[in-house]
Amino acid sequence: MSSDMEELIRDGMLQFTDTMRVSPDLAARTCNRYRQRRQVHRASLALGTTGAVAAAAGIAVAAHGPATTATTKAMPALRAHLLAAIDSARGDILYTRPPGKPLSGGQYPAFPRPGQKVRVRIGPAVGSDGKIYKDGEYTFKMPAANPAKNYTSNLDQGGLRLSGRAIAVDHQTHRWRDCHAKFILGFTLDAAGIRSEIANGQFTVIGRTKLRGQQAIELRINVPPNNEAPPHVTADRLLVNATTYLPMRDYVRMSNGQHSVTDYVFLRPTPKRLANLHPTSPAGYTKMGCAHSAGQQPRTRHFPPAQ
Amino acid sequence: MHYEEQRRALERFVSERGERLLRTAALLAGSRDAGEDLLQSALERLLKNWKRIDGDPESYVRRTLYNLAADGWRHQRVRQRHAVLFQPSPPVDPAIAVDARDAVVRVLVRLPPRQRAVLVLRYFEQLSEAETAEVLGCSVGTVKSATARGLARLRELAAVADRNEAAIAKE
Repeated sequence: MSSDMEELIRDGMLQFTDTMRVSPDLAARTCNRYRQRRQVHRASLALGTTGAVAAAAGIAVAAHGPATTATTKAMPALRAHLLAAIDSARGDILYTRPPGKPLSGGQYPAFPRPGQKVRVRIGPAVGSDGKIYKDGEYTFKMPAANPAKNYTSNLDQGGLRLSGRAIAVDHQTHRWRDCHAKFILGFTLDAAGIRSEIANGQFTVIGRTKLRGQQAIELRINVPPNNEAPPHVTADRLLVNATTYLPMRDYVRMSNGQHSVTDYVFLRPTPKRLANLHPTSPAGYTKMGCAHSAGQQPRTRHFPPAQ
Repeated sequence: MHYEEQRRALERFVSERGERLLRTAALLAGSRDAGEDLLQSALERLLKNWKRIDGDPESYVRRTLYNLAADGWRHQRVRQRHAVLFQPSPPVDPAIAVDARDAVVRVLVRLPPRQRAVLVLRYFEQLSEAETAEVLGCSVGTVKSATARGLARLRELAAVADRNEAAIAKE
């Protein structure tokens, strides 16, 4: 065992942690959270097991303002509606965008089943100068029913290990590639994950609101502790359409302090919409070879907002 | 313990031991903020069990940090909610040397929790193999093999990271 590596590890750890200081309110925050958890626990003991959800929902509602409180009787029905919505939208194209911005990207099908061919357009990505700087498309076969073993671990991007066709267009350097490659993708809305959360009741109803002129139900997704490599999700709110029960908007906070708001739009696949999942490589751009196709891997990050 | 008494006791504990524990937690979790979240969870367990703890509460919190870190991995949600995006390639200045120590920590956080925990205990906390085994509740043999695998994996990941950075620098 090389003592150079061991020394490097120790020095690296010391350097990494050298300036770290505890937040001055850590003890107070800890006590407050401990106290709140004990209150919920006592409430659940008083109400019985099924009351715990209502108790948690009650606290959540109190913390976030007046809203309609979901009763425990309504929760199973809501879960059923949410799951049915996923099934109904499986064959749609799912678009995402920052609120108020044009549709971009696209994933088809919206909720792919194992073995299905999937197309994901990333971009066009617009920089702070308003110009498109990157675009791309991934085409692959959705992995087997239990994709957990295919997920990468401890990489800062996380997601599924995949292989397939990767088209990348770089509008800054005027180059593009169309290669078979291995890549890692996180999914905008992963059906298996959402189903799991919904089926396990890992959400709390905050209340009702209006979004884009439609009635919506606001849910708080109960994000479990995550000690994975950063950044990762620490808080997640999802607004679903009160009629269709499809996701409309997601508010997410990350462990690095970033937060994002993402709107979801589900559209039926038409030939034109499917054709638009393919990025264009303008005339005059240089087509690159595929020697370095495995080198640059996409990172799971928020869409850099056009400023 | 009455709430105020509890709060004061915890504040004393955090002021005396918190910094050291935060650094360990940050190495386990991968960042300062995630480390403080992890430490807060461990401190809550301390509040819950303080009366029953026999011995030094710092040892209890340290063991809890490692157990929570391992649990977090087992219950980890693998689903990502966010679209995968390109980022513009950062300008690479060949004159800037990659600090090897920084690179090692960046790949350390990519190790599986058990291997990461063992390396943090052995090289940051400077515990012996036997002490490490006691904290993690495993055998010395497990510590030895996790250490060897962790170091091997670090070398492998560091080499991949170097190749990727070189590939990006060429583009």
